[in-house]
Amino acid sequence: MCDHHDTLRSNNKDFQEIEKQLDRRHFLKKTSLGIGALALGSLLGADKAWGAIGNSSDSVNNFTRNKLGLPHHLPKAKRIIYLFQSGGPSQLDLFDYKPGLVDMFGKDLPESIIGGQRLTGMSGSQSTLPVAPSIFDFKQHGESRAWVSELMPHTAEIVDDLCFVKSMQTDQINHTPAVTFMQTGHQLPGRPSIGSWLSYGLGSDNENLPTFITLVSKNGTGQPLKAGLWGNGFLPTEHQGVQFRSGKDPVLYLNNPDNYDGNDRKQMLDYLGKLNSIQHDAYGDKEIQSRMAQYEMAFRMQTSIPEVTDTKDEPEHIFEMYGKDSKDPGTYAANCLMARKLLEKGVKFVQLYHQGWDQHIGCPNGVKFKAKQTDQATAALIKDLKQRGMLEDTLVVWGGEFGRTVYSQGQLTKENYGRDHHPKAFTMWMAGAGVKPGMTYGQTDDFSYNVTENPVHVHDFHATLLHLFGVDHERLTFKHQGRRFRLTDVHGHVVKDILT
Amino acid sequence: MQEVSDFVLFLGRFHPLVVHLPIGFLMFALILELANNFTKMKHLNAAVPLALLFGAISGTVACILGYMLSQSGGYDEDMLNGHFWFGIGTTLLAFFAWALKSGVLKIAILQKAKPNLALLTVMVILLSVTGHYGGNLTHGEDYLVKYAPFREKEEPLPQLAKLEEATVYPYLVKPVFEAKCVSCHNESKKKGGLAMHTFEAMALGGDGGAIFTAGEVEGSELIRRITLPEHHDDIMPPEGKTPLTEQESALVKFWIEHGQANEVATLGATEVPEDVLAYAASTLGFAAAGVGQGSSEVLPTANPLNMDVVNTITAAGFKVRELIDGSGLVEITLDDNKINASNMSEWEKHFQSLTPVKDQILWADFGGNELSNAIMNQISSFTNLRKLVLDNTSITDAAIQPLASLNSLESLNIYNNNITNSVLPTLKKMTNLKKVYIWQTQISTDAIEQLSADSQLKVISGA
Repeated sequence: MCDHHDTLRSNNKDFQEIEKQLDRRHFLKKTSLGIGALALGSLLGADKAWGAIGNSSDSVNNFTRNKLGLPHHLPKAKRIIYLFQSGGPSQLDLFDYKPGLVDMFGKDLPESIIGGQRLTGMSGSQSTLPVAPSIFDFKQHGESRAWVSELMPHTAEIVDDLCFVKSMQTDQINHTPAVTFMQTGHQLPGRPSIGSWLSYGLGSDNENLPTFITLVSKNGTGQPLKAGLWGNGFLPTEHQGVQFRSGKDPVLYLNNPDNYDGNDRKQMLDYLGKLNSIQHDAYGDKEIQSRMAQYEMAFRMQTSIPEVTDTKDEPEHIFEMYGKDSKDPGTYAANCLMARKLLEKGVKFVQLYHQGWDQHIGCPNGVKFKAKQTDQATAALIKDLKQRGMLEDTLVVWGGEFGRTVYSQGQLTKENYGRDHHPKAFTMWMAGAGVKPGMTYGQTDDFSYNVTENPVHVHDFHATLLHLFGVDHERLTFKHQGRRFRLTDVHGHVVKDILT
Repeated sequence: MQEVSDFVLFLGRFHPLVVHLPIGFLMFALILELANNFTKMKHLNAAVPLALLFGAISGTVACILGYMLSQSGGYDEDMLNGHFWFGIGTTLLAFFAWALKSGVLKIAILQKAKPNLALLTVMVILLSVTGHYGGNLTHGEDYLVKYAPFREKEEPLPQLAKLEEATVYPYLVKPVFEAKCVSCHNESKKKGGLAMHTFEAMALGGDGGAIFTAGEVEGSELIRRITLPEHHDDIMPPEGKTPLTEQESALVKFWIEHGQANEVATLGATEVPEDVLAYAASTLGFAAAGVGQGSSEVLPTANPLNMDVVNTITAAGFKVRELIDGSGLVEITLDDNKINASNMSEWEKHFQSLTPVKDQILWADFGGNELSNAIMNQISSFTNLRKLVLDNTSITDAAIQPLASLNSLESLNIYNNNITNSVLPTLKKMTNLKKVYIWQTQISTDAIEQLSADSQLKVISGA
């Protein structure tokens, strides 16, 4: 038996086991010089592409020497919070004001507007597609005179800090591919998410916390979310988003078990690290390094997480600002508040998800309910970041995976309607770092159905987002299975018009 | 062109290899002959026939292989003919000289006047002419004298005042083609029927037709060839030669797509992608300032980071981040609660370690720490500082005064500090200040109004 106070000995049984193992790849590497040399080349290449995060966390290096040649230009954003409204919020009932629709109430949506588009199976078989004007009042707000419906009174107060993009477009009409597309730039699962690209490209600002953290509102309804949406795809595993639990303990098992003081944990991890590095030297698998980095991160999170997730030092007026939900852990409001604290501590990417914006039926009540859950905390987050001076280098993004149709899915009455998925036009907003405040960009037709001015595709949104971080979206690539991948694939243009 | 069998081309490519054998043999024959005539090493005479014979035989092989190589086409016809006939002439002369020398052939008249020396001299002249033709065929006509000391110098392009004035083709694209393409695509050597030494020649295209059409990147054979994967058979320049860099390919693409693929379009005439702009700026000697954010933003130039200095700074506990890769411009940050009254003198020394990079610091964040006057003085020496975060630092109005000299400062965050209206004069002195964050200070509402009224300054207080 080996006592872990001993120094590592190569006659240790564990190592002898490792030594004995020889798989096909290993055999080829060891026996064939040619293949060995090839492998060396690709290993060196992979090393070059390794992210900025240090693998050996014993020597915490305070200088971020970026091995990818990033940033390409002076960044505007240091961090981002992405408030993902999952399900497809109705732009027609929130921001995209179409007063002319009142006169069209109940009339069939003209074919000239639909333009032969293939609808979903949910409304495609309807005999009529009756136009459903929003039942909500819209008013202009702020100096920018932006239109906001009565459902978002708090957002209405901060419109001068926001940049509305009313001409968003996506390729996907169903939830899973559309959310996957929005988060990874591709409709099929398996590509790295935006946050993991940023983590890979720009590294960490606080070695004690994950670079990319995901918070999902508790008691979510509607379409499920899956971890692939904040996954690392083919990027090294430590760049994946770390999901915090939506409850009292955001990360489980941080506390030591009873009767264990934790004093020798560091020693235990060091020993484990040595074992793993021997394994890594034998096999050269990058994932072993990732795993080592994760163990070290978990260890540091034992102290950093309780500190950053504890909101008891927040003054009462801050809770009031975010709304009473903010004292109930796991709610959207509480997550907004925690997000601010995480950003303050140097987390680069905080991704919130709030589900249930999928109003196929009972749209007015549904949207109203969702707006009520999110509006105040969203606005509070903007105000809070602003007063702390953080909004100028924090990018805030609000939006879902697509919009909703102008026509009613199911029966249309004076008070009630449903809205189906609509990928061809929807509204998102951005705020903060490098984005023009008090701006409305792009326009839709009278039915909020087609984009008539300045379309912004999901790829363009991604390109713009990376641009704000000093990254040229065409030059942040990762070679995988023989080709170089980008977040924007082979598409995307930076929307320069909305940049300061 | 008639189809030529691959095997012929395969053998033909050995021509450059074999061709140096006759050159060596025949040159050496002349040297032996000279030694025989003008030194006492008469015994060398016996070796001359052997050198000539091997020169002639290897010359014959080189001729045959050379003919095979010429079948691949793409060579200037006149020059190829010259090379061809001079090559054959040299070989025949070598045989003739060997025959004379070895006594196989006997011509009485020639016996007296050292005929072999004259003949061999003529032969070496022929050899040199052949070789020169061959060199021109392979490397292009101006290869040899390009760097000659007394050559006629090409008129340099006029110096540019602004980057936007640069014409895309002459200033940027042409140098790329000259470096990477023209050695095989020129007046005398037109591989694939294509010459690229002038714009006009290039516009004529090659055997496969036009190589580009203005505005169309998709169908452009030029773009296709230069962007193929590195081991592809069709990639240009072919494997073994230096390929175009990514930036160079991007430039050529841009030239075809937006530069109208002509000689006169300038950079200023259209929207230029960032990477192309960066490449143009660095090639033409303009600072890469403002690239990516519109040309309004001018960044200070800075020295590259000295790693010893960086290591000293990070060892002290600061974090250093280079804001643009390779620019030397940095952000310095310090975690909260590092400095307190008890370790203050130590940290005052640490701040001194920032002196070597003081002009390179663009952003700084020392929030959440106690800062002494000595530290504030040090901060006020960061001449290019644009963004400064000093929230929760318990600094006072007086402590901020030295910062008045920071003329580049655009954003100052002093929220949650013991600061009053007396700070106003200091803020007004910062000529470039655009945003100041004063939430949770004692600055009065009136003062805020006054501040924001008479300047571009945005004062951000609590919500």
